[in-house]
Parts: sequence; C-alpha cells; structure tokens
Amino acid sequence: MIRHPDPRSLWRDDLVDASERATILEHVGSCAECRGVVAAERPEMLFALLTQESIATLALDRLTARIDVAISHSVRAGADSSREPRWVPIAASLLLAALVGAYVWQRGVEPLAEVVNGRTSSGSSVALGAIEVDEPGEAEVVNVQIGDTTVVMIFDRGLDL
Amino acid sequence: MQDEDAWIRAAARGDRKAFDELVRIKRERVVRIARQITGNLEDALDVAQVVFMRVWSGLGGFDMDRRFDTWLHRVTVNAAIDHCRSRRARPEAPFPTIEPAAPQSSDPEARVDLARLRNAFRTLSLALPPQQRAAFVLRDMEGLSTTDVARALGLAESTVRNHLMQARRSLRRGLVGRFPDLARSGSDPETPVEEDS
Repeated sequence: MIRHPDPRSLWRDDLVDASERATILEHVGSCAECRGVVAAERPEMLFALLTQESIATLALDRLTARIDVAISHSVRAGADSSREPRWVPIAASLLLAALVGAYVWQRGVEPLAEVVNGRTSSGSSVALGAIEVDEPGEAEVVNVQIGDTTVVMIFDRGLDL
Repeated sequence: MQDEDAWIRAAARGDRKAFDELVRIKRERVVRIARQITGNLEDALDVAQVVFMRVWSGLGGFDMDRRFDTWLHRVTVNAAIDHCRSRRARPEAPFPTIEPAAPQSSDPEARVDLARLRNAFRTLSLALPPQQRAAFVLRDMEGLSTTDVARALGLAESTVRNHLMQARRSLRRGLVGRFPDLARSGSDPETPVEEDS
C-alpha cells in the first residue's frame, strides 16, 4: 500500500516547509496518480516539475572561464576603448606624427634610408619612411595607424610654399 | 539585494571584479532560461556567454533607475531566440537532440516514466513559437510576474497572457495525448489556466 502525500500541499505554501515540499515534488515526479492530480489542478506546477533540473556547477564554471577569456582578450579591449574618450588615442597619435614630421622636415632633403617606428601609450603605431618622387622634390611619408585605420601623411619637399 | 545593486553599479563603472561577481550571481538563471528556450545545455552556454558579453559592453550606458533583472532577462531571451533562428538557418547544424533528463526517483520504473515525460515536455515546448516559449519559460519556469514578463519581452501584458494561455494549452494537450493518465479527474485540457500575476 503506497502512502501518497497530498500533492495539493504544493500550492498551499503555509502547509508545508521547503523540505516537505521537496519530498512531495519528488513523489509527484515518480507517481503517475499524483502527477494526474497536479496536472488537473495546477498544470503550471507540473510544467515546473518537469523542468526542475539544476545546472551542473562544472558547466557554470566553464561558462565563467569562457567569459573571462573573452573579456580579457578581444572584447575587453573594445569595451575599454568605448569607455575612455575616443579623442585620446587619436590626439596622441597625431601629436606623435606631428613631432616625427617636424623632425623629418628639419633633417633637410637627404632621403631617409631607414624607417623609424614609434608607438603611442594607447597602442597606436607610427611608421616613418620615405618615397621617391620626381625631381626636384622628395616626399617624406608618415603612416599613422589608429586601430584599423591608417592615416598617411605625405610631406612633399618639392612644394614651394 | 543592496550588495547586488552595488555590484551592478561598480561593474557599470568598469570594475571587473564586480562584474565577475555579477556573473556568479546571475549565471545559473541565465543558463536555465537559455536552456529552456534553446533546448540543450551547450547552446545555452553559448547564449549565456553572448548575454554576459552584451551586459559587460552595455552596462556603462545602463539606466540605473531601471531593473537590472528585467534587462538581463530581455537580453537573454533575445539572444536565445536569435541563437535558435541562426541554428535553424544553418543546414549543417542539425537541431539538437534532447538531453537525457536527470531522474529524481529511486524507483527505476518511475524514473523511466519521468524521463519520458520530461523528454516529451521538452519536445513540445521546443515546438512552441519563440515568443510563446519565452513567455512560458519566464512566467511558469522562472516564476516572474506577468508584468515583469511583459517588460522583459517588450510586449503588452494582454499579449503575454494570451501567449501563456496558448502555450499552456498546447503543452497540456500534447502531454495528455502522450500520457493519458495525466487527463484523469475529468479535467478539461482546454480550460485556461488561472492567471495569478
């Protein structure tokens, strides 16, 4: 003779405590007759019972690790830059480019054999080089890399300003 | 709750530790909701990752006068529905099979019975239209009020009630069709479930 707890206690919160409630739910999960009572009188409670599965802590920890990696690497960089004023890296890059440009300008017309590389504190890079142009001038080229954007500045020494 | 508010505010300022704590507090619910909508744990974990990345990048502009949970539920439901749509759009990615349900009873026969019932329920719930499924998950699985469900889904409360009524009716009808013992007591499967928001 199976003793059935009253499944109706489930929706009378004042009648059962959490432990009794868990016991009744477990019984309802295994007893077709009591499931019938719940299905007839509180179908939403049966639905809740059918989906009452805990998520393994291991899976949740795996999720946390994935989020951590994603934020630490790619997305974090984007999120950080979106929080700081956008003009900071641009201004820093332009300032560095201007300084390099002024330096190049003052070096005279001798062609540059090497490429000078610089890097701003925000991670933007500056490459300085030279290109050959038709007589009588020569142009210095400064490439400023800001994120995915490259700004090319050409200082044409042949221009008579 | 005050602690949670403090974590949210700190995370919004870019505090990584506060955000980690927020993830720890909210992750299970996010994964649970995502699993109910996508139908399996692996997809739910993918969705949850997307959700928390969106939260991290969007928290800076979050209006602190609004309820964080409502926003989180909305992001979760939208990400899960998007995930289902993209999965269906990719022919090489078949719709996932239902995971075996975790049994609760020690009686082997009852265990099989409950597992079958759970699988049937999952199959039926995955067949619901996305909005109905989302309304049903948030209201009946997660216990949100109808008002909160409406806010989370961006729908009118009357629409949510309608979705709920149809979802419950479809599920009940489907379950009773597979498990006739659920139709005992002369209950009418067409009777709308009492709404108590």
